[in-house]
Amino acid sequence: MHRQDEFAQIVLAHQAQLRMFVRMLGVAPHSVDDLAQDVFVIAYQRWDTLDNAENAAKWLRGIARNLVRNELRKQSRRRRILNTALTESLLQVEEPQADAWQEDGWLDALRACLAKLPPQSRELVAARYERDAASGELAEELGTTADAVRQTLLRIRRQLKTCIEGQLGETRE
Amino acid sequence: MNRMAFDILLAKLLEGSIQEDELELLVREAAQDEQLQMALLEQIRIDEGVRLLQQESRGGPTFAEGVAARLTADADRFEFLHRVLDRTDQRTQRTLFRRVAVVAGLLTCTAALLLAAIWLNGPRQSSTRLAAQRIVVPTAPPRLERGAVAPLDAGVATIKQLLQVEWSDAAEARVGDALTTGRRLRQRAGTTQVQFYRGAVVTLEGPAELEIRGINEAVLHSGKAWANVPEPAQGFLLLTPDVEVVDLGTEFGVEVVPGHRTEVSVFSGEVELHAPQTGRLEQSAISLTTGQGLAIGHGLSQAIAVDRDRFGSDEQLRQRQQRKSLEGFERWRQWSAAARQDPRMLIYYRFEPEDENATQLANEALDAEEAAGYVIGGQWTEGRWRGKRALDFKRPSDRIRFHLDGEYNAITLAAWVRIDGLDRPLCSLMLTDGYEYGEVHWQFNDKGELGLAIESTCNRYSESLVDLTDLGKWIHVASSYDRTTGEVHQYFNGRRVDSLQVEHPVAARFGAAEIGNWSQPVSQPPLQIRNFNGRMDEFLLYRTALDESEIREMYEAGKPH
Repeated sequence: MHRQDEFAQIVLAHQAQLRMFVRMLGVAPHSVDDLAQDVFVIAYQRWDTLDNAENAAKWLRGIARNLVRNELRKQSRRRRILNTALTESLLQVEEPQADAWQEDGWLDALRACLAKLPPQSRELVAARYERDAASGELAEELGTTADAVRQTLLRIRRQLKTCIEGQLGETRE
Repeated sequence: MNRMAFDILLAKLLEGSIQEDELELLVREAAQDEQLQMALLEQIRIDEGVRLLQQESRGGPTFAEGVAARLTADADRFEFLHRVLDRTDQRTQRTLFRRVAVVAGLLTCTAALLLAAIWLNGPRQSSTRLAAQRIVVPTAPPRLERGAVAPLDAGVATIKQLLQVEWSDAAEARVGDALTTGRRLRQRAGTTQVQFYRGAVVTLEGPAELEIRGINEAVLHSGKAWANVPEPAQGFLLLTPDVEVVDLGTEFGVEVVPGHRTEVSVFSGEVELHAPQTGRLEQSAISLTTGQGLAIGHGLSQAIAVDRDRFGSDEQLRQRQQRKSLEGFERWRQWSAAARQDPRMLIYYRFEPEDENATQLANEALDAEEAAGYVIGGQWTEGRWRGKRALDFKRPSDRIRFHLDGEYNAITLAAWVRIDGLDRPLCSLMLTDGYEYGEVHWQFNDKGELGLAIESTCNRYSESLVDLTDLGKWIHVASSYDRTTGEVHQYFNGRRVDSLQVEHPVAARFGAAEIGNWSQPVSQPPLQIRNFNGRMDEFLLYRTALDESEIREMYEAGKPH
């Protein structure tokens, strides 16, 4: 297969998981795509060092870790991470051998689970994520407190997690 | 801290409204409790997943387009990126972006293909072999002609060593050869060491092609080479299809796989890498220092491990050269022992005296009872190989005298010499005293032409065989004459370079004669000086005209390299 095609497939296949991974290293939400694109640029440069396309995900995560580590050395103004201590502790987290969220179907499962949410929850999620509205803003609209909105969103995310696990379990059976 | 308080901080973290002290508290709490740590990761993951799905601008193809756009960015754009990066960053960080900047110049086409591949997802037949064709070889400047007034040296480099080299084309090179700009060395195997006049030494190993570009510049078109660049040669430029290497005083190795990639490994010191034909701007250079290596191909670069042992070293070369020298010496010894048995041999001086103070040089031809050589002046010195002796002729008084009676219908003269200067109109190899009917004169003129003269029969000079750039090299010369056929042939390094048919052949005579000088018979007025400037370590005279294959065999057995 031609290298460009192979690389394009790698980008498309791994971008979502990689962006989630980058975020899980404490990268600021608005810098996630920027840093993840850097990861792929470097991956393209070092393409020859990837022994097997099947190992691409792990390999990409390795590059991401290095890039994020570099962020630690930057002046705060230029940084793409939220906080040194946070990233340092997240970099130490051992990667599980095989995690469900790294599987191809994870994002599809999340999509399905979002669709299953009760209408009120769906509206809150849409307001929070599509509009990127802060909890305080939403609390005003809903006539409640910011912390209550935060609690609700946390609960919804937990529901989604449980739902995804169920989805992935079903497809496995 | 209770779980609810932690969750609130976590939610604040996700929405970006967390305060610095709250964040530190959160991190501390998570670090102490694995469950909280898990919850933190879970929440971030789901949060990012939902953001990816809910934010239209973050779709996969859009993201991939962004990646492709970065690969298309030109060097300036990346230089800009580099500039806005924090200047206090670690060097590694800068290097990373410098690498991106350097490759970016090459990436335009590659990235366009990548972009097309992302959208069309179809195979692209036009491959990325563009980088390999980037070097445009300029036509070599016109060769300087050796002027009639003052000699000009068009050479910019010289062959320092050759070891078991097999050339890919007819353009062979020999040790000591002066190489001019535009000269290409193409070898199938072996080791060639080229020294540039500024001092840089480039050693080719195995199949390789090197083009000489100037006194401090070369192009490695393919193969493996290592370079040693002393201080006077700093700034030595080695071009390859994928990258241009500027040496800042160092030792480095390069391997070019044409159409694929170039690997640069720095053994010591520092080199600067530039994308080909981008003007080698300082700000877009990649710096590699001791122990660093980089592979560049298809416009991409990647760090590689430096393995000094993949390349040869001066010490290795020295040992191989020594071994080869011993082998060469031994090969000649065997040939020499066999050649002595040839009954056609009249005089054989091997220049291997048992006592260097003795003035007599034995004639080692089989049945030689006469024609011993008498060394007058001269200095014993080293010959073609380490351990081989030679006589150095320098002063107008230096010579070897011998006497050979008889008339000969055919002769062959042969010798291994190292010419150190052609500083007389005629420079003697072997001249009979005076120049009478049938007497033989064998010499070079100052144009480097080899001449065989037999009084009343011929006085013939070859084309020019030796010029100033050939001085100091061991060469094999031979001339033959056959009275029955009238044929005169002359040979240079085993190759026939001149032939002539004489009309009135006579028998050749020697009588009193000298090697490396010319004397007049007693009681005659003094002659012009024709002393030889150089070394001789073998001299042979046959009573037959050896044919070309025999001359070639003699050359092959005795060639120094």
